[in-house]
Amino acid sequence: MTAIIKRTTLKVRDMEKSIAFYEGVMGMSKYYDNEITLSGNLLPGGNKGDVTRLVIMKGEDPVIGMIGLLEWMDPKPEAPEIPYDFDFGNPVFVAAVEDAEVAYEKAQALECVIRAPLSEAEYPGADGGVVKVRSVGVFDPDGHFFELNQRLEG
Amino acid sequence: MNSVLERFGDEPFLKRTTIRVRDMDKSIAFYERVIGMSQYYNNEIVLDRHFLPGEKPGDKIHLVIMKGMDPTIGMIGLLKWIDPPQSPPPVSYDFDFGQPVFVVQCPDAKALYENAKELGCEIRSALTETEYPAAAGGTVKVRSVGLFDPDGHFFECNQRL
Repeated sequence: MTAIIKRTTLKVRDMEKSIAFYEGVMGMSKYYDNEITLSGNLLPGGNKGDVTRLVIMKGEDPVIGMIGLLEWMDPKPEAPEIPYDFDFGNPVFVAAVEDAEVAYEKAQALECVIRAPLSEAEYPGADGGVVKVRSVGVFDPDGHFFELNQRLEG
Repeated sequence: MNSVLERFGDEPFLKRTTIRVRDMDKSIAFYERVIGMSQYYNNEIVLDRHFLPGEKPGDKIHLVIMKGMDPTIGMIGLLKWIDPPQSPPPVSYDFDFGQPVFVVQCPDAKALYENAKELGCEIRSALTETEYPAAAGGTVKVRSVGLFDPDGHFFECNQRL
């Protein structure tokens, strides 16, 4: 049995700032925008009756690779300081971009926290060869790290 | 233009989500036996460019990438620090700021639940049925299981009814 990971959902502090990042830097668009009252049965950290706003951002694929942005509306949680780290429990999103420099400029224009400006690197490829990439490392408004890679020849 | 860019155009696309793991074999077993993925990549990499948050030049990691049915997107990277060895904190079975929730579509929630129990996974929510507002209006009815991978990443596994 193969399941499909349709999306990764993240808890966000400011929905409009998050949407601006996923539209402006990642080129995604809104697929879903609704308020949902939690049953309290499924999601960890949620209680029965909590009101959330779920926005799902989609890329080119209509089914997978989506990002869910979840903001608690009622009660409003107290958000901790953003750690800008990659520790146990935190995700790193790896994205392919056509032009890393353009992605970098878009992130700068939105005043994203930049961990690593443009750099180039080589990795062992899945097929045994070498993959060469030009990369930018940026954080979304809630400190989720994005590795944006432009594939180079070689 | 290669076939991937032909498929996705010139916008960025998310290839995978990478997470840090405590025990690579336990994680691979979860992603193979519960989610039904297979190994796409398995290598040791020496980090050398101050790119990844938390890395130091010379750190050595083990990266395994698990793929599902799509050969390009929706993959999961499993990353274990080898050198220097890490002292991980206790697993937090929660969904707080900074933690992802993976939403999975599965053909049979009951079968997935049985596989997860057999593997000794932490189950947050056994089989339940619920309705959500759908993207296109109307409602979506799902049978769901909520469970954690070995490092406490939460999976909402939904079978569409």
